[in-house]
Amino acid sequence: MATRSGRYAWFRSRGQAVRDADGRAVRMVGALTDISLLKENEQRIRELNEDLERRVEERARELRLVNEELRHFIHSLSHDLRSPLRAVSGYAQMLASRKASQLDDEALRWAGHIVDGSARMGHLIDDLLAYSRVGAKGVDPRPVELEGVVAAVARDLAPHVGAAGGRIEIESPLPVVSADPTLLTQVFANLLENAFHYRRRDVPVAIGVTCELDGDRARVAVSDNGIGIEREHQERIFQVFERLHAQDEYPGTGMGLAIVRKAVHLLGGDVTVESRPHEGSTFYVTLPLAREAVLARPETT
Amino acid sequence: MSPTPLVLVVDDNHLDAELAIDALSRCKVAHAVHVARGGREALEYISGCGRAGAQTLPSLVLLDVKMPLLDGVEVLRRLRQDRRSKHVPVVMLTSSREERDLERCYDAGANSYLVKPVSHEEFVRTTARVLEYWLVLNAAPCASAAG
Repeated sequence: MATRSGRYAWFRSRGQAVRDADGRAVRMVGALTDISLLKENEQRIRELNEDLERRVEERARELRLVNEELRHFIHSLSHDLRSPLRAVSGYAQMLASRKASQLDDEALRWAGHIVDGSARMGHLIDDLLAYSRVGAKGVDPRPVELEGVVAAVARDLAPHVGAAGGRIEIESPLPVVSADPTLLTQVFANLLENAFHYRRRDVPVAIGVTCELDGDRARVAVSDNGIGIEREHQERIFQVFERLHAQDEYPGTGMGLAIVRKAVHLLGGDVTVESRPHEGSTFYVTLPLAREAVLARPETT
Repeated sequence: MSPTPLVLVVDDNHLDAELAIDALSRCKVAHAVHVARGGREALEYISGCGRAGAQTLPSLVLLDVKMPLLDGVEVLRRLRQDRRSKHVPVVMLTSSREERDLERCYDAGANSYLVKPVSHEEFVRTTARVLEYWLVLNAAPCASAAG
């Protein structure tokens, strides 16, 4: 409708017919409301929403690119760092073994330190690479029998555990979860290896894997009777390169649990720890159950 | 007198090349070594083979993947196109563990792939196994008759 000033505007018209005694409509009573402002605002909101969506999409694309770039960077960095490291380690090793007769004890010990140091740096680089590679090929969640994955990991570890006089007990059956098998294997390999690695020397190592169902999620517990973790360190251990022990006490790079957490998050789950020093630790991994597993579950729990 | 099998080491990095020579010198399997400092030199060496009185065709090539100008995979591709080096076993040497790089090597016709460990002692042991495998267990018929 055109207004007196000549601009066209949006109006909302509401009216009612006024009828005479015979029911004939004689006139209309009603109101015309100028809703131009309302319309303009609606349009503006729509535009803002579209703009926001576009910006979110753009930002996500940027982040994906940065992520990919970072992965490439870590890859070439680790590649390029390894080469000079080989020279450092290799020539120190040659010095220590082939020129041993020309070196005194102190020089030999120092050469040994160079070799040890570069070996450790080599492991750090390898683990950094392993961490950056977690989920790099994409996550492909599908129904996976948890029991098979845990049993395979336990089988690899069994000779070492057996030699130490320990045992691994796995609850059966374990549910079918929705996960990427590679990531899932990485999670439990790291957790079980840790349970064995950080064992107490005064008791035979006992590692257990159990599971509880909680709605559409599985809560898997990996418990041990190992050295345990002080409460104040329980968050730190999931961070990259965080270690609580001296290299000669419990060797490692401090990357295992960071890999576990990254993998579990990629699977849409979470990982937490409960632990007491000198008594043991239990790591809880929550994972989405496979749809079939949720449906097939008996009503009783 | 049968000729000693020749191992061609291709590496632009002289520190790495020298480590490879050291590792090879400690292997029990008898062999000679020739070092090519880069891809171009390796291809030139191969193209000089086959003529009467020319240099020996290698029985094994240890080829570094990451080299400037002509990288290892490209060198490998060209070795496979040359009838002289078509069937010579080539083991790629690299410090990369990326699956993508590994696939690239096999696609170009690599026989095997060796991730150079940081520890030289480990490298010495691995090199010994590589030589045992390619110069003794899987030696080409002519080479085994010769050795």
